[in-house]
Amino acid sequence: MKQALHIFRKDLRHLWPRALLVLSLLIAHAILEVLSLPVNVPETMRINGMSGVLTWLLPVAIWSLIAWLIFEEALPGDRQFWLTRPYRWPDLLFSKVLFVFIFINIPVLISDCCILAAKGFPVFSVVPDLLLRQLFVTTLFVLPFFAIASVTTGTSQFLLAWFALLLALVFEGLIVSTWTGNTSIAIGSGSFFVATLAVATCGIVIWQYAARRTTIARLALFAIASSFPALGVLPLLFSPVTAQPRHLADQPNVSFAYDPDLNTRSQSYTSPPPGYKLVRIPLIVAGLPPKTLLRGSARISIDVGGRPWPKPGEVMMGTVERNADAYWQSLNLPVANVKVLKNQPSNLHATFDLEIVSDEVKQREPLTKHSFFVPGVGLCYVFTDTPQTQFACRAGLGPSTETSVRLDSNVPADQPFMDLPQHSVPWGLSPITDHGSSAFSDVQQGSLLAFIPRPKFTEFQRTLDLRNIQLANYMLPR
Amino acid sequence: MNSPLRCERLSKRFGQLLAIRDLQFDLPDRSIYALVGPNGAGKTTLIKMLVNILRPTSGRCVVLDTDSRRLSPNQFAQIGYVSENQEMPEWMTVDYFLAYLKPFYPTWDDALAEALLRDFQLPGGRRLSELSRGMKMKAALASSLAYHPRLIFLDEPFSGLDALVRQELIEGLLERAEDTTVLVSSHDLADIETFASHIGFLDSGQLQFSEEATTLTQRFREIEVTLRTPPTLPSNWPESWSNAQTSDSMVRFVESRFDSERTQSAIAHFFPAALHVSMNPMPLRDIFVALARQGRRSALRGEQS
Repeated sequence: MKQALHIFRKDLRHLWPRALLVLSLLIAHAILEVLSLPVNVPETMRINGMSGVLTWLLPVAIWSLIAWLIFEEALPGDRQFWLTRPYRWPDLLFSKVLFVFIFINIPVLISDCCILAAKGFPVFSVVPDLLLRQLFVTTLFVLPFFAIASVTTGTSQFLLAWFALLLALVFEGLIVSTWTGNTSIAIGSGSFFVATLAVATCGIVIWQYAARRTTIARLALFAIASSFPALGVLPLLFSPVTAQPRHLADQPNVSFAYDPDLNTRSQSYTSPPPGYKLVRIPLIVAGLPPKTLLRGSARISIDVGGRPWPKPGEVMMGTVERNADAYWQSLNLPVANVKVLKNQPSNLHATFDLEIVSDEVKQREPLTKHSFFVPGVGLCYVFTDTPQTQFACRAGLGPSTETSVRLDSNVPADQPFMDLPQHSVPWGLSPITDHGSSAFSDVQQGSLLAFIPRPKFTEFQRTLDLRNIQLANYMLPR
Repeated sequence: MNSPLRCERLSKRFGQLLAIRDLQFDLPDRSIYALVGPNGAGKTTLIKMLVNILRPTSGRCVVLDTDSRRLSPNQFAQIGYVSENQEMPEWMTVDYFLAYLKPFYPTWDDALAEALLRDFQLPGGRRLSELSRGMKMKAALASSLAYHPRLIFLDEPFSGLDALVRQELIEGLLERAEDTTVLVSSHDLADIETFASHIGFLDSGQLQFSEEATTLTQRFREIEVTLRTPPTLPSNWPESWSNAQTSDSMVRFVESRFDSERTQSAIAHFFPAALHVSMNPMPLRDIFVALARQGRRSALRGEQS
């Protein structure tokens, strides 16, 4: 411990200007985060721009500081003066960890608290989330660069290795997203990815400090980079898309069936993506508790003249939607398949995963320029002094609730224009998360924003069959 | 007292290159052991293995009663290491460098450190990056002597230094390292012949000999045989005769196992018509050159065969 503190003091003596640079950038970043807004209006454009620049600059400064710190006692090579001095490796490693903790982790934690407090978000009640963010920051911003620096000898090697790993990550991300169709899968598979990365990079760092076997450590680092696709794809095996259907208790009071009446027509609908046709089949839903909504997804298979579609092993998903008081099962079919399917008699089989959620407006706010707090969402802003009225929200840490936002003057009045998802703890350098913004033109006088939290009351499963139908009768646009 | 350093069948391979082969030697306690050999002989590789910077491919060395692969801070607190191409913390001043190292060594001697700074005329407030090569070597040596190490390794410490700095370093070493065992490597024997007590000659990764400097000078002689007629070299002459040179009426060669009676009788046997024979003691430098030449010829013969 004494030796660790001695090495720490030496590092501080040499690296204080660089540590000061990181602290200055972090302070600037925190100030800009407080001043910036989640919408781009003229008065926030410059601040948002500067904040954007710092979002890139700050990580670079942090990574450089980590590299310089480790290179003070570079591990690979055979010429460093310290190799033949009585250094104890646990003390050496601890001194570096202490430096990172004091000049990166603690400042980021303080910055988080300051940003949250300045924005009016709670701080002391979200301590577990603040600590979880520290784990994310350490795993994603510190440990990988600590590991790279521990197997490289200088800045150029560090940059080269960093770019190589970045390229590998992008390349592998592309492969995985092409394979799975999910663009965020390579780096965004949550806690499994973070935990694996943390354990693997910690292992490499400790091994390298203890044994200084650089070739093995480099190979291990390369292996981790190569396993990013696996880390990204593994959680998919447990995702609802490919998982076995969950067996949920049924809700006997809720009746749920296809509506054979073809005269029930949808008044409005969301257009399907290019290359797809929308199939909407009316549903009869009754017995729901008051001020609740039924929603869910369906795994659908169609039997066309004895031939199953899609092929075994493939999954076709549909959704349950409500429009006005009517419910629909929506399904996007590729145009190429529509030609084959639409005029043949078909049998449709669907297994629904359903949930009953709240449908009660808890808060209404006028659509005039102001900011307001929405429980479970965060701080929301309305800007009216722009060509279009803009609306956006910004979330802090702590409990969050999925919330739909509805414009009460809109037609149809009960169709939400935005669903604010339940947010998780952000892993970037800011503790606040911007929710997608929305812009309105032709806002009517007295329009109100209605916020409908969607806490889930219950989940259940149903299976429905629809026999001898012609899909063409349910296709939109007709 | 145990030998502070002992190597047994030590080898080091870099891919196809066998840099050190089957090396076996002891370092007598409190000796100044000069490890000499041409550039590329494996001196630096050997020393780096002794201080666990490199790991042996096979065999082992015991340094201060510990396998060199398991040297711990306890042993390093008694070992000094100075190398011509060591990377120093250039941003540190000389004073801070010594102050930084002090807590690592329980036996650090402030008075000795100050004396070394003074004797080496090191500017304490100057950064290491601003020092000349000679000054840097002095700083490195001072930092490795100030804690009275039991064993000190000097890897080509005098390479590229002017005569004055070289002399200052040698004097500093001899004055301050009386109780220390020193292993100093050099490709130029002139650097160390004045103070080495033992000499090992390393060539192509093999230790050709390892012995006391005095016995070495006793067993080498440069022999000149003057003849009446132009000489022809006998094909079966003794193995200990090497580096033969002939002129009109003279043969000159090096005898590496000199024994007055035996050598004279061998000369009489091979050169019965000798008019005059002179057997001159050789300075270490000439011995080293002769051995290096012999080594190269042997290597050439090996390649040709």
